[in-house]
Amino acid sequence: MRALGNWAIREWGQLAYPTGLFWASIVGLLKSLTRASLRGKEITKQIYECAVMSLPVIAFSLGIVSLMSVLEFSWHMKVVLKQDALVPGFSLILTIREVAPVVTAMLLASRVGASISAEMGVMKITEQLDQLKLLAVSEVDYLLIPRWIGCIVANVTLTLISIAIAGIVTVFIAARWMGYQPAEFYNSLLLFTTGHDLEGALLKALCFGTLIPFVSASYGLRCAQGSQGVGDAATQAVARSSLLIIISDLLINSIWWMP
Amino acid sequence: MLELKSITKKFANKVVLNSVNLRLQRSQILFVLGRSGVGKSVLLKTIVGLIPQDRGEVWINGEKTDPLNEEKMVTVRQKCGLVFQMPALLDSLTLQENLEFGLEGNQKSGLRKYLDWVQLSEGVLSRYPSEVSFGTQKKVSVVRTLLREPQFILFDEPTTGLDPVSREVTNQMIRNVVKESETGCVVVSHDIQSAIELANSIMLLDEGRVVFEGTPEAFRNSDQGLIRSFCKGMVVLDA
Ligand SMILES: Nc1ncnc2c1ncn2[C@@H]1O[C@H](COP(=O)(O)OP(=O)(O)O)[C@@H](O)[C@H]1O
Ligand SMILES: [Mg+2]
Repeated sequence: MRALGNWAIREWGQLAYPTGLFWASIVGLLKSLTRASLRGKEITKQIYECAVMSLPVIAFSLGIVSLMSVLEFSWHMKVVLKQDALVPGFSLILTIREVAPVVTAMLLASRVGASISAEMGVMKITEQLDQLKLLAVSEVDYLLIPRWIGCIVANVTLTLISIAIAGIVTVFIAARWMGYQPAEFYNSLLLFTTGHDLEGALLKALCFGTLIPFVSASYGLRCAQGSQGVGDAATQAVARSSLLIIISDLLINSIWWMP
Repeated sequence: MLELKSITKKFANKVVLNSVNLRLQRSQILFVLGRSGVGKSVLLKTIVGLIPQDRGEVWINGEKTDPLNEEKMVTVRQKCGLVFQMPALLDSLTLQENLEFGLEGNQKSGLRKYLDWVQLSEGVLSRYPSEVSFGTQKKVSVVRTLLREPQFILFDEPTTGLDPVSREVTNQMIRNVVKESETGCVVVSHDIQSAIELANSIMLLDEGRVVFEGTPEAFRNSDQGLIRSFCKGMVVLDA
């Protein structure tokens, strides 16, 4: 019991540093907005790196996942209820609420999170971070804020694209194998899905898109010496981001959709 | 004047600097010698507050620095520049962007002259750090500091890993900056030859302490064991 308590306290303590970075970034962002000094070039580059480069793998994964979920649901429903009329609607609401935001964020965490922490880790061990200090440039302004904006933009657009892809795949399967007309399908969809669901998905995208850069940066910026240190930082960044994505997913679900 | 008063620094119970004192006037060159791992780089980093000391004080022009106050350290770092042992260029920027990074408009005027001093052509500046040699990176990192025209410059092994020609160029650059801008220089080095040629005074660190401080002549004529073996290295280098 005590060991469990200690563990919980230690894990909680791990969050202090990324949270500090988060507040520093909010302050930095407000300051640079008032000075109109955001680094446009750097931000564009980060958006490109995060969103465009991750698009193929995320589109592919989401297509496959929604295909599987429709077929799987359909099989179960046929066994139990002898019909699968509601399946496309069920499947899509699951995608919007859960699969699209979480799978997108997980893939982004493993791609972008690892790269953020490794890049910052290398900058730390090659004294580039020290050099930033000497040049009186804050690492939060220069490194973190562009990556944060990049991750948010990437995660929101990729989540929306994922939903769209899942929708198309579902329509296709419904029309091809379940004998739906697209219009009919659309009506069955509206039975279950509301704007509230879509807003929830966006909320998740915002939250996960914030979580990934700050958790990853917190490991990169505190990276230990040597290539081992950089490797550990990247591993930790992905593991922690993924864990926190799942925990915050649970929290958002319980606030957003519970009666 | 740059002054350190009994600086002490421990890392996990290992005393790296043990009550180190140092004084440097402007237009003076102080060479700091010592075996690898003795704490020379740590010493330079404590001066600019990148590593806060455990005990002791750093005074620059009669003002005591406070390494825990980042805002005040900004002005300290403007007065006292540090050129790292490794070039530490930002690798997402070109050499030109590295030089101009965080610089104010009027500080760019000296660029030509400083590139001349380290014998770099402007053509190379459009490249990225990974596309040029170590020596070029090192020269760029020197120019980056020179552009800010600090009153004191700390060089961490500026000639280590360079060919003899670049070494001579670097030494000449140090002479120039002292002569033209009355800059005070602390040079950490393993290069006894350069130390004896350039230095106004030489300081030898061993096991966290200053074991010798004096003029190059006194250094050469000393009969301390460690100094003798340092100078023997020089003779071998000469041969
Ligand atoms: N950030 C740090 N954390 C822990 N130990 C350090 C740190 N920086 C330097 N050291 C240790 O301090 C000692 C002196 O290092 P350094 O100043 O780099 O030596 P050198 O004289 O070769 O420049 C070494 O033993 C090194 O391991
Ligand atoms: Mg060193």
